[in-house]
Amino acid sequence: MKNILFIIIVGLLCTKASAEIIVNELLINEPEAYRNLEWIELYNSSNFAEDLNEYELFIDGDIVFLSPQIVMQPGEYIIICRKLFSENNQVAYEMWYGNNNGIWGDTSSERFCRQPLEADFSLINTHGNISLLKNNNTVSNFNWTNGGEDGISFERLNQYDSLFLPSIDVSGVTPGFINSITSVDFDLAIDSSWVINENDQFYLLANVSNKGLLPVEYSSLFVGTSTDTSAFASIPLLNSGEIYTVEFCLELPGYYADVVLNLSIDDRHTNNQYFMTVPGVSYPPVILSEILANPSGTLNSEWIELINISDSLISLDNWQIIDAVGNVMSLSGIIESNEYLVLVEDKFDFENYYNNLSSIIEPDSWTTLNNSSETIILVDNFGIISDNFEYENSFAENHSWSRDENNLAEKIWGQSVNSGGTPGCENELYPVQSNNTNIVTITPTHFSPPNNEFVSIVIQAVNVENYTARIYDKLGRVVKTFFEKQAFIPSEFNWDGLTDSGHKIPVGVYLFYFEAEGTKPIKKPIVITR
Amino acid sequence: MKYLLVIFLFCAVTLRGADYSYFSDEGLSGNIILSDMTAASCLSVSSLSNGKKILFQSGFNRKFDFEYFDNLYIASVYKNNKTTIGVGLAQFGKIDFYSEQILKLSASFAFNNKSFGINFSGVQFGFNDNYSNLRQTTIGISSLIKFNNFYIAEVIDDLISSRLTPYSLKPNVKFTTLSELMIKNNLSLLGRVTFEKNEKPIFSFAEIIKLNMLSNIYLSAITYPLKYGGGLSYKFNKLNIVYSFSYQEILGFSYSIAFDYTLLLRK
Repeated sequence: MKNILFIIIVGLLCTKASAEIIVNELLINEPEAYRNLEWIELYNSSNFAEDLNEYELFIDGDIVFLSPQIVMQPGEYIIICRKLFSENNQVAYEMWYGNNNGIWGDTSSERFCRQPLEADFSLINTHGNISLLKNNNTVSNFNWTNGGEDGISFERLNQYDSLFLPSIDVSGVTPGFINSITSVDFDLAIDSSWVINENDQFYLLANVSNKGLLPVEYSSLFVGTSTDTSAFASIPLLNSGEIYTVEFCLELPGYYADVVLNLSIDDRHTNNQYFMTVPGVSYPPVILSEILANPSGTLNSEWIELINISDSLISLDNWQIIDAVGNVMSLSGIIESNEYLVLVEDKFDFENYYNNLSSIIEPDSWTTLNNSSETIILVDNFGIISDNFEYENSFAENHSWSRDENNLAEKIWGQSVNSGGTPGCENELYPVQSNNTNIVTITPTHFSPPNNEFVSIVIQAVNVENYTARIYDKLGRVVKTFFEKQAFIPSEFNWDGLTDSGHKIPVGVYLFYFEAEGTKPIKKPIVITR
Repeated sequence: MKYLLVIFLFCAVTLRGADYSYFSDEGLSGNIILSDMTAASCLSVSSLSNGKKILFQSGFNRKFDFEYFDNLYIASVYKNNKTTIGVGLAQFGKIDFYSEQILKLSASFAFNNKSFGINFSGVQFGFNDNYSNLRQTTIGISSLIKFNNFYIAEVIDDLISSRLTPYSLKPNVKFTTLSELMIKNNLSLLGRVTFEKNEKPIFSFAEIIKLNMLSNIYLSAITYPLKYGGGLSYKFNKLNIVYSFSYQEILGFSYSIAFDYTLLLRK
């Protein structure tokens, strides 16, 4: 309401001007209090070249001295800034809107208009007036009673209408370009772009809208890195005001990739480009590794362990952990390559229970993890879901949910072998299958006990109350019992070919039987060859 | 007689005894019909039946619904009054993983209400490509006595056996006592007990109910491992079809189907 009232007041105070050099845009409320970033944009709205020396610019009644002998061509913009180049690391126009190398016009972002002019002026946020006079006649005038939002410029509606309104460009300013509030015939814009993950495949989506006055067809959206265009999509006929969502499948190298989206050239350039960081094929660099949601006994602190699986240091600033109901924990700090970082609810309590552990961080706020059903989502600083884990129960006696680090792609989680888990160390776990099926792997299937050979049996089982594993001969007699309705079992164990009573057994094929309560039993053959 | 003895001695060099599964493993829980003559049973137990005939039997069984325990067999017996000669071939397991190719030969001689038999069996063990085949032979003996409607037999399997390799175990000698009591003409009760070194004794019981001249029902149980069996047979002229099954609480069902064909010869 306040903004609307302000806009109305601003509009009423503006005077209509004829088409000559006009004040077209000005940034009063500079970004981040960098006062050197205040600037004024002039525009030659006539069909003739105009000598700027014939004009006088007043700010709050004080004249602003401009460089003489500046001739503006028809349709040309010129920027008047307080400081063009940076000195002593002070923020300046070329530093903010260019490449900060002390030279104007050597990069694409600086070539859109001639070198800005420096002048001694100040635009006061609370109120002010700017006037442009030619031959003592006011040709352009703007009064303001509020400097607007931080980094958002005021733009003139068009050359015929001197109404000034806040910029609606995504960057907040359009120095050297047609104003964002000025209607043009052909104007497709990239409104927004985001990344989604479907079945471990990332897709880049972008909303393209027609902000122009006329329908646009035969346009395209290109996506690529700064040096290469890797894909493009055709945009169907869009009428004025219509929006179309474009989707790209992302397969860029590395953990992250900086991409740029470009629309086909139209009447407004400023909304045709969109920069963003997207996940690469190696993504994510940091994942969830171990979770203890149900501390008991002398341990009272919940904790979550992360691991950096990339080959470089990762800053966790602006990363987040979000639970099933949307509670957010903000993260900070760094995590070294191939190292763990343990996020703890209470650092003091954690350190009392676990001795000699480094790489511990206590976030500013901690969201209590449910002991029953819970979802933990790790979100990176770009808002991309880096990893997530969902469990239906937690374990008693300080057993953690641990991830199989030798098989990261399969996302196998299970109960930690030892009470307390392995925060800051490699995980040891009894894998638990999440899809209600058990997997038994026996290697080798053939072996010779007299030659001191044995078989290794690896079990990935669903999480249930008890497990049974036996070996039977071909008559159905029990030869060996590994577990009999046992609550916790190792994920890997060996068989040396002996019976429970230590006797050798004859050459033959034997049946390995595994049952996790309530699931379909598994039968596998094992052959004793000698 | 001398001729047969030469054959057996020759076979004993190359063959090895093995568990030879019949339909009776499932439906009769290992019991064997002593009062009648079947091709497969004659390979293990002596026969007292009279007449001159040739029997054929073939069958398939899958134990515990586990394909690695599949067994396919064919057997034939020639009976000439007091002398019975049998031969059987079987394959257990899966080729290229683990298999046993079994050959079993038997001969028995009847004297009044008694008979005595000897059997030779041999097996070739096949593995995957990483292991060479092995062979083993064994010899077993049997005897059978009949008292009115009661039959009792003693079988000693793997009495003499060779080793697969110098450090392999020899098969255990197995002592099995079988019995059958015929109650009227439509009911038989069978019993069996087997002793083997390092193993619990195994007891099993079965009954055969003759529904009519063509069909029988089998019911049975065995103690170790505890299994319950059942089956049904039906005769089409000279062809007898037997379907049987057994159930073990943990490992589940085993199935068997067998075909008997009897060819009577002129006396």
